[in-house]
Amino acid sequence: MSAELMQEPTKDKFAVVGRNISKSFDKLHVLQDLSVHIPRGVTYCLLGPNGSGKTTLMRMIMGLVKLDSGEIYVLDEPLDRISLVYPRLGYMPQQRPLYPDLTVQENLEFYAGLYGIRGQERARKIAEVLQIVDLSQTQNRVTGMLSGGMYQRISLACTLINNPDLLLLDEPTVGIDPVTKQSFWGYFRELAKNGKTVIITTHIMEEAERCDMVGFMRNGIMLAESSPDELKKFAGLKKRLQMKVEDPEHEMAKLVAEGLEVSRVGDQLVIEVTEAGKMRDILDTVMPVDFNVIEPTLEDAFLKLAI
Amino acid sequence: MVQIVDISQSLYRIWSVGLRVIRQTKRDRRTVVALIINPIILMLLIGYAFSGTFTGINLGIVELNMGPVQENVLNHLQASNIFSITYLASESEARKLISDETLNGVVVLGKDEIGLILDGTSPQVAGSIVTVVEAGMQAAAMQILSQSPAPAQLPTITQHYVYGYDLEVKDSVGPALLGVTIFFFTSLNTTIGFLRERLQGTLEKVMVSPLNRMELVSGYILAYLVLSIAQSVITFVILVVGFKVPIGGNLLAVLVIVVLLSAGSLSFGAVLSNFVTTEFQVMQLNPVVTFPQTILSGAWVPIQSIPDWLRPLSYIFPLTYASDALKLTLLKGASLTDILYPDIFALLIFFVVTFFVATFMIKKEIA
Repeated sequence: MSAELMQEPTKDKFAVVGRNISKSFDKLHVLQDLSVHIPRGVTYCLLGPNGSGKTTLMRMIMGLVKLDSGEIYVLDEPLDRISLVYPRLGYMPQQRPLYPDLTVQENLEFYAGLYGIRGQERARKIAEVLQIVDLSQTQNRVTGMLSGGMYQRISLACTLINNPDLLLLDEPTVGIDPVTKQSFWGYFRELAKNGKTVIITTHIMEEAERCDMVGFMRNGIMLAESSPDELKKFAGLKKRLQMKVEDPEHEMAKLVAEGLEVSRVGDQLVIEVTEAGKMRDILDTVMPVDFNVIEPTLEDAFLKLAI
Repeated sequence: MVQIVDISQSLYRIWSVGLRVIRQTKRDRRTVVALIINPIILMLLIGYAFSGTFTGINLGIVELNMGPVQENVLNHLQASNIFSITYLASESEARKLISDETLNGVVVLGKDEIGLILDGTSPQVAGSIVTVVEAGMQAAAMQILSQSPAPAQLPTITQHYVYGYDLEVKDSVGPALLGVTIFFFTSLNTTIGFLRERLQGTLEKVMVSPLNRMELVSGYILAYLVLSIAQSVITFVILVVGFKVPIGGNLLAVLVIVVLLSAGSLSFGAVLSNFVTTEFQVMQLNPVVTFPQTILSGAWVPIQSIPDWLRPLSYIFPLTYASDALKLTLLKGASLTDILYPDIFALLIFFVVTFFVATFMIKKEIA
């Protein structure tokens, strides 16, 4: 399916390319002949329900889980040379990645140290990442005492400390408030705009909708990879026109006579619309009391593709 | 895969891990208090509470002038099954063999005096020699008193300690307990430390950085060396100031022992962390692993008092060598070359093996 959407991948265009990846744990197939293509400089969402293999795939990309078969290239390096790209990766695991008994500053210093960032450069870098996540005043607070939203922001700051080219964020927005969530998506887009590749796992459709690219996963299979809009098109989803009318039976008969497929829910009529011009014709014919245009969601696409 | 490792970068990463672990420990006040209090409590409890019976004490006998009393004492010593006896020609030879640790004590059977030359660093062993000789004297006295004509004067018993002072149990246990404390503190804390890293996302995050597994374990070692040396200093102060133990030690040798033991204990703790999933399990597993070697190491009770069939175990445990080396250096002033074999050698093997198993197992559990 992905082959229909993507042209044959060339290495330099992609941050991550994986082909025919399979993996089982105790006879349970976690990933089955899965392929993945993540272009450089985009926000890419691995979307799927719990247990679909998103986290396993993400950990494989970092060389933390071995493949049973298949191959993965990360920033042009094969997995057996993955440690060469570690200096260019930024990973934010689902479990808590900060030392709770250390202060924010000490956590940042530690992670900076792992990348050999020291002295003045370190101080500058720490100030920079704290500014990105809008938490310049928290340096001396103990990490374990931070609120959920602040904790996640500091985690992100630690992940950015080495100015990574490829970010892997495992459910980064779980348990944070809507305001912080909003700003996170702002950071992600900003990073992608600056040429970074951001991979995000989530099971929340609205989140995936904000990404440049979505990889739909279910039961260890990649159902489709594309932009959210193209995915909806690919799933054959159309806009729907929902109209409240005074005499539903009469109006419905009129529309059916014109050869349209209409469904009725109480005093509401619902029609799938393909072209914009068609919608005006329908409205002229029916003259509804009230109407509503329903855009297809990724959830619809997912449900359609998954079945 | 050819990878050029920049040593200074590598050392800096190790330093970063070490600094982090120290900062974490420093912030945990209870751990800091435990670091100071543990050796004191252990020394008090064990030092005063322990005594035992012994077998396999290496005893030398010098027969200078054998009368009926001397024969009786000799018979007693020979009849007792706790000694393996060597017969010697002179007293000077006896002293030399005690210094070499070939013998635990020597009984010199003279005409007017029965001299006991004892190893001052093992007071319990010395005590049991004294007991048997006194029993022999008493038996002889009974026999002689029942005879007539009136016997000659009974010889007197004199005690000489080769190290010039008479140590109490707590004195000799002190240095060995330093080993126990370091082992216990370090292995327990690193088991929990590594477990926490695994339960948090920190270990995974660290693995996806330029820090490799060997550097990670090395960073921990760096931190615990600092903590162990601090603990050693505290123990010294307690021993010297509090218990007035005469320390005749070679501090460089002591430092080497402490460094090797804590590095090995740390790696050992890191290995253990792979077999547990909760801190509760750590508390259950740790005694199983540490108690036998603590008890059998010769730190609490001399190896001579451990039954023969258990003794091979003593010689497997690293703590046995650490206790021995610490006693030798602190009480007898042994130098590094004196304890090179088997003590330092054994501790080195312990460290190297656990270090590589620890790094290997981190890799395994991730992949």
